[in-house]
Amino acid sequence: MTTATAELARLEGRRMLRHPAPWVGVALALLMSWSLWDEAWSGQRYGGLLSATAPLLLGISLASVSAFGRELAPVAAEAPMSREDRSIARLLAGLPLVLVAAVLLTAGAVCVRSIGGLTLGDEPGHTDHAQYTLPELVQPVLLAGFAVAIGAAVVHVVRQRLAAGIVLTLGWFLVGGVAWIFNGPVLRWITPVQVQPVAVRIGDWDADPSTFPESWLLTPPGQYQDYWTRVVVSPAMAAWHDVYLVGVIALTVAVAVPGRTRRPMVLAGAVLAAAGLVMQQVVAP
Amino acid sequence: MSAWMWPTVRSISWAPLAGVAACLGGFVALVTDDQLTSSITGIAAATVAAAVVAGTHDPAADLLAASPTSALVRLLRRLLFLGPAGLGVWVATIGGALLGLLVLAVVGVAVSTRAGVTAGVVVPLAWTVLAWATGLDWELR
Repeated sequence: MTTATAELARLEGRRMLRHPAPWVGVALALLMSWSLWDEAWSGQRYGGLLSATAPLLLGISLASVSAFGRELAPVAAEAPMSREDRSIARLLAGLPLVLVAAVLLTAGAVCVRSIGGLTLGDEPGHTDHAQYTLPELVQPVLLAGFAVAIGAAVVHVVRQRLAAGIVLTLGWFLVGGVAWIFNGPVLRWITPVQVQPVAVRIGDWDADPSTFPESWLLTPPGQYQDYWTRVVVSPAMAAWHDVYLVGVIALTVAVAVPGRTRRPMVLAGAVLAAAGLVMQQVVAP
Repeated sequence: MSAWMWPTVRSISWAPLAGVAACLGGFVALVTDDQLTSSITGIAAATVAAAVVAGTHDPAADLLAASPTSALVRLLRRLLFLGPAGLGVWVATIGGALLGLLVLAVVGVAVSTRAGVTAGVVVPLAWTVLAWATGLDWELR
């Protein structure tokens, strides 16, 4: 990395950290997490806390739009830095915001651990001590990286900051605000925000729950399903979803950054995304 | 056709509305259940309203300030095309009650005339994102 690239990355990094959108996103994410504290059903907090990061991710994307929007101003071809170098510098400038997301996430995980865990399942298969697994915790950090890349890609394609901001607001709401819509069979492997646990059907409504293994977390027949389900958190599926996300980030970066890096990014991204998708299907509960 | 129509259509920024239409169209194609579709009514209304407001952006405003056609007339002419287009996107994708969409669009346009298009776009989006985060009942029906 040249000195000029590092300098631009530092400059844009400071600007992105000063952008109000990520910090408003932090406040809204905390507000959403707070409103989840009184659970309407067991496991609501476990699944909801992850999708509550969506306002923060939207804020990061808007900061990225702001940084990459400066690329829309025409620059002479003889400029000391090429467009590719400028784009790489701006992508690197998004790393401090990813770090902020990682710090907040770590604080959240420590908070969950300090209160002894979260609820999952209903009697007779219930726990009050569910903890997030490492692959699940890695996912929001990767999503923060994706938020930087998608902001850059959208403003690069749409060529207008306002339009990019509106589309990203809608997009993050769809994958985060109503994440439950995209977390059914198949779609949960594709959607960026994968919310666990997964409900696996194990018996009809009249099944005797005492016949199920004691270690299973259960959900009885109710308003949303007329059969018994097992509540499963799959670290393997979350890990392969992380691999899939890395692939998607590479593909998104390929859209945002022109030049010689585009081809290897597309290749690596496609391979990782495809491998992640296939392996999620293989290990899915 | 009046002489101003075609230049107005060409000068409108259609990208925001096209982007929102593509997202909402993709969602409706993927999720066919009406009950699930209705769960995004609030954000859909806000983004369509914001896209309509964003479309009113007039990059040549300073250049045309001295022309006999006032800024208000140019804004109304843009809205003459953007309004039906936004309505078309709404009806073709989410459908349902129009009140929320109209309120957010009118407030957005009103704010944009005083504080600029960016502020006008932010108002409907901020309302909906705040309602989303705080769990307010945002369905303006």
